[in-house]
Amino acid sequence: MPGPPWIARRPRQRAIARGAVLAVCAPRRPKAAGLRRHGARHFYPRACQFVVLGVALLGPATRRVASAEPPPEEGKPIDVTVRAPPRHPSAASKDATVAASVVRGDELSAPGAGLADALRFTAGVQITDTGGLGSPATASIRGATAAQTPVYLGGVRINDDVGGAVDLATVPPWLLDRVEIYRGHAPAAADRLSIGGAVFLEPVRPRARGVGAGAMLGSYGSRAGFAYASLTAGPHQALVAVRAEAADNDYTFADDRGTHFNAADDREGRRSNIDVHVLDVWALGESRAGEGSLRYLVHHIEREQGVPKLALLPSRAARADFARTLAAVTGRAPIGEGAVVEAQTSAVIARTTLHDPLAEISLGAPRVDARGERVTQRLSLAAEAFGALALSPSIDASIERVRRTDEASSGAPASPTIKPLRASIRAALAARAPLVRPLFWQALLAVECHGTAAGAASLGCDELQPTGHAGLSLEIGGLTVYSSAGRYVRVPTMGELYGVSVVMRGNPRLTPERALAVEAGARYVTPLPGERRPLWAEIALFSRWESDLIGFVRTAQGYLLPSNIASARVAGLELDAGAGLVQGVAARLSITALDPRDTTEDETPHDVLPFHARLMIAPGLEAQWKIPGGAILDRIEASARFLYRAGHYADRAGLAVIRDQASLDAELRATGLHGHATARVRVANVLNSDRFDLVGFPLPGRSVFASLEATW
Amino acid sequence: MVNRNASMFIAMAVLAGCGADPTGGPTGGVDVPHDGACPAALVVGLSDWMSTQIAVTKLDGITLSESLISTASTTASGVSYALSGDVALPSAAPPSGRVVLLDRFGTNVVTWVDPKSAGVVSQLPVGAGFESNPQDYIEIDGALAFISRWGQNASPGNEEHDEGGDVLIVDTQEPRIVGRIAMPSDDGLPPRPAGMARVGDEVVVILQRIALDFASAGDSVLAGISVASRSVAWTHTFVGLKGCGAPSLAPSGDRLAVACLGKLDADGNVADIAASALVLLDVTASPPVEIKRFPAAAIAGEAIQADAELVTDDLVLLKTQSPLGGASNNRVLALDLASGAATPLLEASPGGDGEGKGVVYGTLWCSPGCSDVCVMADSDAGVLQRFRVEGGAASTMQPLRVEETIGLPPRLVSAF
Repeated sequence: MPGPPWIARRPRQRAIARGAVLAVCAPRRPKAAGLRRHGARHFYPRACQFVVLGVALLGPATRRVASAEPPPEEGKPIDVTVRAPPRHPSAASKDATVAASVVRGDELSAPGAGLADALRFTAGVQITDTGGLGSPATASIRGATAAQTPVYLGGVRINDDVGGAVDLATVPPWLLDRVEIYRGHAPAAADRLSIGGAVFLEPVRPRARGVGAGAMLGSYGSRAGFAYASLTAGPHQALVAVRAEAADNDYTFADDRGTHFNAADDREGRRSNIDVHVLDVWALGESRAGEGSLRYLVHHIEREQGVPKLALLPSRAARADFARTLAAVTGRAPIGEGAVVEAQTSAVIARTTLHDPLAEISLGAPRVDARGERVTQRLSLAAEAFGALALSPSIDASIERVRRTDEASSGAPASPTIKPLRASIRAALAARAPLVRPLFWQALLAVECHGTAAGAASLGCDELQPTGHAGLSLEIGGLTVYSSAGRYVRVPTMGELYGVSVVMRGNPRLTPERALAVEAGARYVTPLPGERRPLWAEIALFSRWESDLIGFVRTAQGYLLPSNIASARVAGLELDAGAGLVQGVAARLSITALDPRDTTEDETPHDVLPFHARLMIAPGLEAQWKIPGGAILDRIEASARFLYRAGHYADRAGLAVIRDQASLDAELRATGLHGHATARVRVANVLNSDRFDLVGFPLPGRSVFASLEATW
Repeated sequence: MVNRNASMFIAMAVLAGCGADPTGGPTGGVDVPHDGACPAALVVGLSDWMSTQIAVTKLDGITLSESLISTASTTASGVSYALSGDVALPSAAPPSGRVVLLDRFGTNVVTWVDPKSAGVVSQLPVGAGFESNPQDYIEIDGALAFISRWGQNASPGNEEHDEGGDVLIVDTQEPRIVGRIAMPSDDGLPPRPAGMARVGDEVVVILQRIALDFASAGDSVLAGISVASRSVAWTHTFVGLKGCGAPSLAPSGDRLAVACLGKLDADGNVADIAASALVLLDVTASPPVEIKRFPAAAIAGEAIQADAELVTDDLVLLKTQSPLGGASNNRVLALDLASGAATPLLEASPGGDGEGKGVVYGTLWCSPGCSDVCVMADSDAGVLQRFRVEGGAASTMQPLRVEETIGLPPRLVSAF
């Protein structure tokens, strides 16, 4: 049966790559067009996906072979033969010589699941969220704070310069192709080499013509509707998508009323003022001219939500409005043999308004408005020099402004409270070359300069910080052994320097947080004949020494003042592994053991850092059944992930302990009508166990979400 | 088999080691008899604002139980803890002989503890759906107590007793809230009732009158509550003084001292030192009459904290206010009320950069007539500082460390 016309026109190319012949990947009928999950990735059998990705990442050698072929005749099918080792599922595209995880595919499209839910099972990652669909959530990687981890959307850093952390709920994952989590050492593509690695959220790339729409319904008033259209015109592709999502999140929890010693007054509480409404708009484009390309990304999100406080004493009227618009243009062009130059111009405009008419959340004002704007220019070059030496110099420059306005209680005209400005420039050089094949050395060295000023003061280079990492890697077949050591800094945010609110004061004397980190790991992958998943594993050991950490000192009147007061040492082990077990069934396991120690000199003998579970275990199973010759149903897939999180401390003295907990999520997906329709049902917290996030927010019990999506 | 067993043992050990157990549990109760009207022992609150431990010491500060009760007394439910990091203690020893804890911001629960068994006798939520922020507790008789609630509910009417800015009347036996006494407010400022003291047939309560957004404050007010009628009998405004703290009654019962901090700005500085002073009142009359004011500028050269102890009718121990990162450090002064002379007793150490550490001196507690030793929680040195009062003068004594297992700094002192 012929597939949709925009697929039939896709030329088949012959590409012979390095490595063993693994498969002949003939095009298959797509289930949809336009989106990642309905686009190029599904044009091939699942067993070939890693091969296709591997080819895409093999670099100039592959391209040269491909370009030597005569141009394919339009509309005439040809066979594709790919020779390559399977791509390791956790090897990230920007640097395969550091510990990383990649979340992709259906993990990002589960109904009722946000980005935080998708990352929850990832090795080295711990999530803090206030509970419920669309609610604020942050990720801690290897015990780092969320502010220590830069997060990039389409290559553009979206950490604000107020709190520094990225709220993962502000990037609904439905249009993400993959999430690359660099757990320790960030790649050159990150404009900040910070303490907590880096997270890259990579949107889908428009591929073909088509439209789609869908809807989701679920527990606690969760509902969503979305639509997208993908267009092509010659070398130009574009994708426009919009999604509206809302949830009441009025789930119940065990309310002990704060009287731990009196069980008689316990009752069933219900979360309140935690509803959320999200509007999410995407525009993606790509234009090709010869071997060059231009990519466009516009993402706009608006979110209106309740600010719930802790469950014991919920707020009633505190609300928050958030809006962020991101726009980026990325140009890429070859400049001679083996050299590619890439330039990206981006702008991010964000606004957060907190409304506290009843003085419930201690803002000190009935309304606080924080706005931030940042413009960034990035220029990088990837080239081969002196034979096998790969060099990639880059320079990033940005200017950012933050404005905070506190509305006077009396209703007097609002006036800007703070208006600091920051200019940053970073020069970096990444290099990689064989030492003695197959042993390679690689290094990324950078110098960051940051100038921050409030008011009319001129900008200088207040902070000149060298950062970077260097290491060795050994590559033998499917085995990669790597080790790296690096120095990282986190420059205080403008919010920390000049204040977030009346309660969260600023401290202009803050200095950057610093860290030295080492890691060593091994990654192995080998195909399993007859299985759609290879046998793969990654193990990583790391240690990080942090100093001048910014903590909050409580002043006499209860205000919080940031200060460079703490130091820490975090060590750990991460294991991520998986394998195809029997036909169509695969298993996965990730284990994180963390030893986060507070090395601050104080009177408290207990030294385990709070709010970090020291053990997390996440096994999972997935299965796929294809329906041969099915007229309505093409394929059924099922998956389940279990997550165990050890109990953890919630204070520095080691007196407050939040008990261990476990949860099981399950999902069933059915694809039918020749790939034009997909139905999903997801049950979160199947066991209905009591769950709390790292700081104690009660999380929902058993929840059911269902979605239906149709594409043409 | 041996290898498999060993592997399992190692795996279980690793799993167990990755969990979390409280660093230190309760160390039990104390059996200390009451001696007439004197308190039996001191209650010391140790806290880093994240968790709290309650210790019991003798009146001279020697530890009897390092941890009567603490945040570690129960496993956290996730919603709350056995004790939060913001616990207050009564400014007067409860005659019932119970240890009373006021779990404040975020929890709003009163807990009664039997000091002998270290068991919790009862608990009572006093939040009523808003941040009521209970500040002080004073027992009126064997069955009733007053609880001042500093918090003001901007949108009351959802639950019973949810207005705030009041003094709750609590049945301590059941326990339950039986009523409330609304505190007077004017100029659009909430009353902000804080510290209380029993004076004859009345309970006096300080009204701090700080705006909801903390941006402004009115002159502090002393309100007298008739225990019999359970209503406000009179008010006295400390004209020109702001941020006044718990009243301290002299051993004779004739005089009352009230220390006023002034209005703090956002950085911890006192905006106008003229609003900081020690006030001496004659409470033989109702309403009381101001006898004398001792301006902070005159006795300390800087603002004083809103916490002073009237050790004798003529001697007051008080502390200075110093902002975090400021040029000065907390000091303890002995003020001779007759001469107006202030004698420095103690000064906190500066930070590593030579700048002040802010407020590091906590509650001062004296038991006049019962002990000649006053103690003060010193979170800077992590000890109980001690002062001997003899012959109408005070001198420093060897400080004592309350406990060394957990390492939380002492911040609060009360008694039972």
